[in-house]
Amino acid sequence: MKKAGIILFLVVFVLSALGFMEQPERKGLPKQQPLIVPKGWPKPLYDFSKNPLTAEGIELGRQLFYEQQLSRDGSISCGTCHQQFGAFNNYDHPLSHGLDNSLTTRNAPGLFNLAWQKSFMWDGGINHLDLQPLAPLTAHNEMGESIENIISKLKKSKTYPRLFKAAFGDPTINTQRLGKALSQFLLTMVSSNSKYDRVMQGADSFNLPEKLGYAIFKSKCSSCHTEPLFTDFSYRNTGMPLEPFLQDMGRMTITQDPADSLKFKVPSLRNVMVTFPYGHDGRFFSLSNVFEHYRNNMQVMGNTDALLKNKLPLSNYEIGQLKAFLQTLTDSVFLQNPRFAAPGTSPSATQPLDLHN
Amino acid sequence: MPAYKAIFLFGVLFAAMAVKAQHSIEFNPLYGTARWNPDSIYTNFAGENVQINKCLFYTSGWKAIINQQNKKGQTDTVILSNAHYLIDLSEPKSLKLPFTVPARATQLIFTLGVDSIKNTTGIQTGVLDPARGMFWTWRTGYIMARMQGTSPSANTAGKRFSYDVGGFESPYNAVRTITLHLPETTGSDNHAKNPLYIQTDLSKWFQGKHTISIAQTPNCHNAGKLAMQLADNYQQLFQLILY
Repeated sequence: MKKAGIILFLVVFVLSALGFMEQPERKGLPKQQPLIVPKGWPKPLYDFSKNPLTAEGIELGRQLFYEQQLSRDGSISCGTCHQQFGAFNNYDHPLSHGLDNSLTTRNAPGLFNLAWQKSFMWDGGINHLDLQPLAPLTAHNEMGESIENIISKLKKSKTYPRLFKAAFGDPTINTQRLGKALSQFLLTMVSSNSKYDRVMQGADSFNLPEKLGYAIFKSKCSSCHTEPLFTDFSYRNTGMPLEPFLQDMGRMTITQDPADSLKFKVPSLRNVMVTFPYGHDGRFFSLSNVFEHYRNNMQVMGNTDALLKNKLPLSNYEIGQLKAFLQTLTDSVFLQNPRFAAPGTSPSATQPLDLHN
Repeated sequence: MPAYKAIFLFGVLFAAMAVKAQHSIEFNPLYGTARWNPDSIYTNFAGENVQINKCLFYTSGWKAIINQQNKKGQTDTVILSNAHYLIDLSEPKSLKLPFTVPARATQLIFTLGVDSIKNTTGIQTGVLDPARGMFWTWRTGYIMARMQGTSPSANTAGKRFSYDVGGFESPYNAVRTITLHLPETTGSDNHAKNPLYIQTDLSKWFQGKHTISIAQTPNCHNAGKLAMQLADNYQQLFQLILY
């Protein structure tokens, strides 16, 4: 009996020791779920080693993205002004509505392919995706809440401590984790399933206008709206005169350099058909307005982009073909992916019919 | 144990004991030569009446230069702390630093501000948590130092003036290195355990390298030229004394 006892003890000892040895490095943390980089795309710029994606982290981020309690009066979530059917822009709004009937001063851009973006906002003032949400959360004309209150509301809630624990291994809730969780959700919003993408992979083909439009696009637009992300993320003055009420100087507000006056970030043209109105302050109602700006209405200034010193001559024919090509950049899989919809809902099967051609 | 080893060990022990004489260190908020009081009204160089309700700043990179030369004839630099501290002049607990300065030190060096790595790597925790309010959310960057108050000379709502100084990128980097010389009595036996005080004279915000009048510039809320001038001024806020 004594022998059996010793053997049993040894077996238990060895097994429990093995248990210690086989601990995974991320003890108690959820399984990582790396971002899939679309074929032919550059390496993402986001540092995933500091914030590895996990199903639990992404889900927490989604809950937070659609959480109205993050605003001061509980009326606005991130998703209020970033709507999936508009590729997460604010559909059909030149400027967005904030608390107490306030208006923002900039057009809410679509949100996708953020892992490849090195700075955020039309002026590039924010240098890290984790920090980006703090701007709309705290701006008095957006969600108007203090970070301190947001953290305290989340700590008091019944669900969030559990969700933070699932995502990060313990229930600590702080600003860093709030930002990381939102980033995890935002990083998964990859839009790479448009007709253009299928054509590039050889799985589909352009019709004639699309094909002609693509050739015109490559000769006249792609120096700034560079493939495959359809932006080079630079800041440029495209001859848009100063808006007298908003007085938005763009990039110059950040750098204080007069050479950056009225420069704004080149927006991606992916999903461009659903992200109207256009321009940093939503001044262009339709794509036709944008083309008209480039070929006629531009005000060429001292620091207007070298490529646009003579404006951008476009014939009616070229505009027609370009529009046909730009339609191929709409990613309907992305616009209706249930993983990006508000928790407990599914994306609307019927997209708004409004199109501002 | 060979004799030279024993001598070496003895030497190390002796050196360690000598280093043991340490000064605690603490900020002492002043306006001019008077102890700063948030209820008092002071006058700045321009004759403007000033009441200061708040002054906070980040410090980091605390180092001491040791008088004694090492074998190579160079003076030694001792790293006192790599942490960031948020000094809130209204918060007595934040004024006293959690480390000490070796008695043989001749210079004390620190950085006023938050280094660029912390400004470019997402959301930090602890005293660097943006929830502490010393952070610009609309354009990334820490507010390195803040001073707020009221003045009849401020042409603003509520006669308020407010200086939030930040910027971590060239040419508008508001981080400043402060080098303070320790008083000569430091380290002498009678003073070896006395606290060091960093006299922090808030009047220098208005008159340091530059003159800043509240009537002309009641607000600073972005990186840029004004922030750089205020930063040059707050570089001159400090002086060390030993009690």
